[in-house]
Amino acid sequence: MAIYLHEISAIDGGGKEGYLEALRTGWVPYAERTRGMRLVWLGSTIGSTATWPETMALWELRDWEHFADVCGRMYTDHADEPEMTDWWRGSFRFRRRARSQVLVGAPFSPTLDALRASGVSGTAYGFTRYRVAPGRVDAFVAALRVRAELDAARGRRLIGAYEIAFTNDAAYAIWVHDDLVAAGEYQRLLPGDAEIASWQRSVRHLLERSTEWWAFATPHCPLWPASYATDAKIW
Amino acid sequence: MGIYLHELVNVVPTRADDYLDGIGRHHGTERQKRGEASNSMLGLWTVIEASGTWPLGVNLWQNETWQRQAQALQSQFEPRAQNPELKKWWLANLNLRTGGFDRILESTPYSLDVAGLRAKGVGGELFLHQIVRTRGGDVGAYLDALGTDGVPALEGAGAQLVGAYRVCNYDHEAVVITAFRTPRELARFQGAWHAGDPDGALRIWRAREDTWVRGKDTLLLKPRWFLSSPWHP
Repeated sequence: MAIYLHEISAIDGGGKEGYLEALRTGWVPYAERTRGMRLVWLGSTIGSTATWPETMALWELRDWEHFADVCGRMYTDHADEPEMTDWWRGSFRFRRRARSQVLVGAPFSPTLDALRASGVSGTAYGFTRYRVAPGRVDAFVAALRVRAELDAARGRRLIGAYEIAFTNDAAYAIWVHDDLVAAGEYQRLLPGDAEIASWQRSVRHLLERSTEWWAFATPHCPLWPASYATDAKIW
Repeated sequence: MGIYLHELVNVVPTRADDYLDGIGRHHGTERQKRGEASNSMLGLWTVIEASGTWPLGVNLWQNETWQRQAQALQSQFEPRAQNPELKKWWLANLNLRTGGFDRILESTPYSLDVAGLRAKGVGGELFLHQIVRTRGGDVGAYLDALGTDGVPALEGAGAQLVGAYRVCNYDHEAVVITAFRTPRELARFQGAWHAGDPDGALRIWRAREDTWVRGKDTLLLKPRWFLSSPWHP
C-alpha cells in the first residue's frame, strides 16, 4: 500500500511565493533524487476556508519500508547531509513551523501514476478531514469509495482516500475540481442533493463530523492542468 | 510507581539540538551537584517532520518521587527555594525555545525506569511517541490492558516499550513511548499494524484498544540523548 506524507507549513508574512519556489527548485528535486519521494501535490490553503498563510505538500512513498527510510534520513540539526541542511535552514526565511500527518492509501485510492494516466487534474482542491467513531476507520474509508463515485458524477474527482496513520479515529480525502468556479458550484448544489444526503445518512453511525479546507495548486504541481500554461506565481 | 516530567518544547527552528544540549547540560550539571544526575534523564528527543507539530523537542525526566518533583518545582517558583542557576539558564535560552506544554507522569508497574531500560538495552534510531486519549476515568483500564495484552503484541512486532505512563492531573490521558532499533523495524511494525495477520496478536490488540482509546496524537522522534548524556553519566 502506498503511504503519503502530508506537510503543512505556516508561512512567515509574505513568504508563500518564496517558499513554494524554494520547494520547487530545491527540496522537491532533491527529495525525489535522493529519497525517491514523489511529489503529488503542492500549493497553498485558500484562506477564506482555512488557516492562512500556509502551504501544503503531498508526497507519495511506495510502502512502509520507504516511509521508514525517509524518516530515518529526515532533517535534524546535526544531520550529515549538507545540501539538505542548507536548504532546510534557508527555508526559514519563509516559514515558521510545520505540522504533518501520515496517510495510508485505501486499496481503491489512485496512485500518482494512475491519476496521471487517467488525466485527472485541476486547480482547486478540497482537503477533507473526517472524524470517525474510534475503531471504525476501515469501514468509513470503504464508504468513501461510494462517495467518490457520487462526486465523480458531479465533476469532483478523488485524488486520494486515506486512513490517517497513528490514529484510530481519523480519515482523510483529497478532491479536485476543475477550478474555483466548479468548486463553488459543487458547494451550491450540495445541500439539495438527495443522493449525497442519502450517503451521509448511510455513514451516520461511522462519521462524527468532517471539515474541508480548500487549497489552490501551484502551476508546477504534478496535477496542474497541462493545458493551462502560466508563469504566474501564487502569492 | 515513578514520577516523570514530560515536556513538549516549542524550539526555535534549526536550534532543536542546541536547545536539547543546553537543557541537558544545565540539568545534568545541577543534578551532579546534588549527586542525583545518574538515572535522572530518560530521553531528550527531536521531533521529525513526519507527524505532528514541528519543530518540537521532547524531554522526559525521571524525578522518581513526588517529593523530588516538588523540589524541582520549588526551585523555580518557591521564593525561598529558587535556584539562581535555573533562572540564569531560563532567561539565557530564550533564543532556543519559545514555550511548551508539560505533563507530570506516573509510570505503570510494567514500565522500566532508567536503570532498568539501560540494563535491558532498550534503544533505537526512531521512537514512536503517542499521547493517548480515553474517556474520563478509563485511562487506568486502558493502561492495565496495554500491559497485559498490548505490550507483548507490540514487542512481538518489533517495538520495544520505553514506557507507558498515566498523565497526572488528568483523568483521560496516557503517554506511550516505544523504540525501534532501525527504520526497518518501524516499517515492519507499521506493516503489521495495518495489514498483518488479522488473527495475529498485534491486530487483535489494535482492535481491542478501541474499547478505551478515543484518539491519539503521535510524534516520530529521533533521540538526541537517550538514557545517558555527557552530563548524565
